[in-house]
Amino acid sequence: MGCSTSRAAPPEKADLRGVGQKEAEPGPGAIPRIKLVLLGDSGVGKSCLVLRYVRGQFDPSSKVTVGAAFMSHSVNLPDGTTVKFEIWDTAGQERYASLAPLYYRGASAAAVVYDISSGESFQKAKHWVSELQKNASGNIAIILVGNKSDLTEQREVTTEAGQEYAERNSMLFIETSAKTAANVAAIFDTVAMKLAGNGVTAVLDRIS
Amino acid sequence: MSSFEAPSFAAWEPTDARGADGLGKGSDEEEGQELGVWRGGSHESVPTSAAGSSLDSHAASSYELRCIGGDAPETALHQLGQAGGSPPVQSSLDTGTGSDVGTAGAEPDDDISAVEASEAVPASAAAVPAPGEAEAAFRASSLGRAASSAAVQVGQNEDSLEWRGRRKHFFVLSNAGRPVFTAHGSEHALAGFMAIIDAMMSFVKNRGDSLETIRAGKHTIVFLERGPLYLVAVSSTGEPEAALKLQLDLLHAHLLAILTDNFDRMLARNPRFEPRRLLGGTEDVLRRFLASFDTSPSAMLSAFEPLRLAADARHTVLLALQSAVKRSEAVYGVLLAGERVVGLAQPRAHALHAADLLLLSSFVLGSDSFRAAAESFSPICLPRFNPSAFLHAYVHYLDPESGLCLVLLSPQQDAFHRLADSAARLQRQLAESGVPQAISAALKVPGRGRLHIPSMPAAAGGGAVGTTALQHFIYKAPARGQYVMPDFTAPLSVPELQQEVMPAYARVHAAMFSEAGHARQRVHFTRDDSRAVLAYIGAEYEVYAQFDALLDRNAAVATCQRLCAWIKGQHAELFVPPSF
Repeated sequence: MGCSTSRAAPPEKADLRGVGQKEAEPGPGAIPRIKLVLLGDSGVGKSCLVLRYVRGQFDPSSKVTVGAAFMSHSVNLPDGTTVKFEIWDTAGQERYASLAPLYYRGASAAAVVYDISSGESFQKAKHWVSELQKNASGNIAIILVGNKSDLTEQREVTTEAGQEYAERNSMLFIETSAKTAANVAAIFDTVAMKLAGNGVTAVLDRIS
Repeated sequence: MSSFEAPSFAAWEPTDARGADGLGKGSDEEEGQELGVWRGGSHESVPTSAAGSSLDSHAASSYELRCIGGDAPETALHQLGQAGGSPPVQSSLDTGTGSDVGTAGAEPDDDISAVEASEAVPASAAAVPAPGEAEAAFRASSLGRAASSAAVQVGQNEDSLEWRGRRKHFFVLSNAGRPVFTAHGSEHALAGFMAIIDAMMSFVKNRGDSLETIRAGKHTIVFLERGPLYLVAVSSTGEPEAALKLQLDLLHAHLLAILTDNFDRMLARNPRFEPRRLLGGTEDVLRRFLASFDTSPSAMLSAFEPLRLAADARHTVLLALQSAVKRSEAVYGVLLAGERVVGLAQPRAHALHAADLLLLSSFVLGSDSFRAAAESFSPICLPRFNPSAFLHAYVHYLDPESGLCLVLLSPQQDAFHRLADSAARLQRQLAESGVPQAISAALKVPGRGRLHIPSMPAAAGGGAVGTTALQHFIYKAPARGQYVMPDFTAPLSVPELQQEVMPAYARVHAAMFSEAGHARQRVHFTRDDSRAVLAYIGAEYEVYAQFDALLDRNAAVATCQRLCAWIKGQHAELFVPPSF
């Protein structure tokens, strides 16, 4: 459902000239880019994860993301290589659901985020995973992220449940806390290493 | 009797006992009326008696709500639609809700518990033959008062003093009675209250009329129906009906800006649809928008306020904006400094409507996430441009500190990178010409990017406090769709005095213009104990000015004429020239 975004221009059209268009044509010697999209229910902390990662900040007064926010961040991976992440932080509200394909199409990675203190957000995450499996490019790397791991008292989703679901769907899995910064950089490192290891998009091959 | 006595309605002292009696009797005597009217789009008619019997213990509340629709008040309400609220009518309406609640056997203090109640209802509702959900919500609202056990938590009590103290309230509900939005408090806690609004509006509507205004003491209550939505404003600011109606209209337009008119269609098709789900997270944007009416005349004048800026800096901005728009195949480009417009690029054939620009800047400035992110891309609908489709807005704060924010609007949903490239180029162009510094500087001098009465020449009505009678003014250039006004300075330096300024202008504006926007007169002067206000229409301008209470009409007109002559010489730095 959702509103009539698609009526302004059919979503199929977006596919032709996807947002990730640039990725296909990097200049020689350019730093490889990884387009990563964050998906997940409203309020699970997607924006907080990005702000923690890109700026090292944590702002507890949560601001509801409108549409989608774009940030790019170059990072040195543990193995010494440099990549540039182009991060799309999408809004979790239902009214934007119909726009999501615009962001995950052409993406080499998706982080599906839930809040470990909300079983409902975990269900929503599963919904996003199946949408990605259905509609995203076959070789997109998906990482399941259980955020707010500092909220141990209110935990509703066990680590095992997350782990098990991720394994069953061949996804990476990690629990993080944007508040304490625990594991936040690891999301991006893991994704980059995975893409390098698989040669999925061959982005990292260009470095040599 | 709780919520219905709450806020502004506390002022509705029943002054006509006969009205109250009539309503009370109506509730006892009327039977078998259809509930269809309260069921949104549904026209099923379930005889109340049937609904009532299957509802057993809730039966009483289920149909006593109809008492509003009893014979006795029918006349009263009917008049109300036409007469716009003469005192006896309003009081009978008030006691109508009162007796309604009274007969439900509610405890005086059990406040709105409609939410709890509506969650408690399903079991009994299921027993009713095809009960519309809206109907259930209705039943719930009266039920809430009947079932005191359910009257727990909603916890309006602590808040209610604060809630009642608000000068203005806005409510939006679906015509199926579902709360959509409230400016203060929570939609859930006010569900019962909204149900009563729905009952009132639906009742009058069902009689082929429409409820427009109620005046009660110092409160003005204005109702507006837009598609499947009911919008209500309650104001004690002294603003005229026309101003409140316009504000409701803009509130509806803002809902469209967020969701397009597909929202209306979804609600109309399916009254069970939960409207608040789609609006999630936009309450603050809407609230800030409504609050802006207290300080900005943009809505009333249907015009925007430019930032005062040196002409060459403005010229650079306009050139850069136009080239950015052309290169990225965008439709519009706007550079904002806070709520003021630095520059605007628009095709001549499709000039950006003032209302659309108002909604756009409200949406952008009211959403904190744009400020936090480097670049954002979001759908927004501009109802005057096209109410059925989204445009896609690229939003980038060039300087978060001065609120300098670039917005490019494209019809293409995959336009982000094109827009971002153009924006980067524009940012370079502006930086090379020192425009951001010029803007920061303009915001730091007295007046903060507006005119400044103490710095203006005495001949134009300027001067320090005590030397001039002029306290504030608005100068609108209708041909440009823009207006300028001075920053608030002494004696208007405290918020209590500032908040009186816009309502005073709204009153003279309403006196000057008919609802269709035609000027009834060229000069309008009012004076009371605290101020004199003049509205004056010249050949190329409209001016509204506020003076100390000692100034007479002739002196006010003379000052305004000199003021306008002076402003004319300042056009280049005050106004944004037309582009493209």
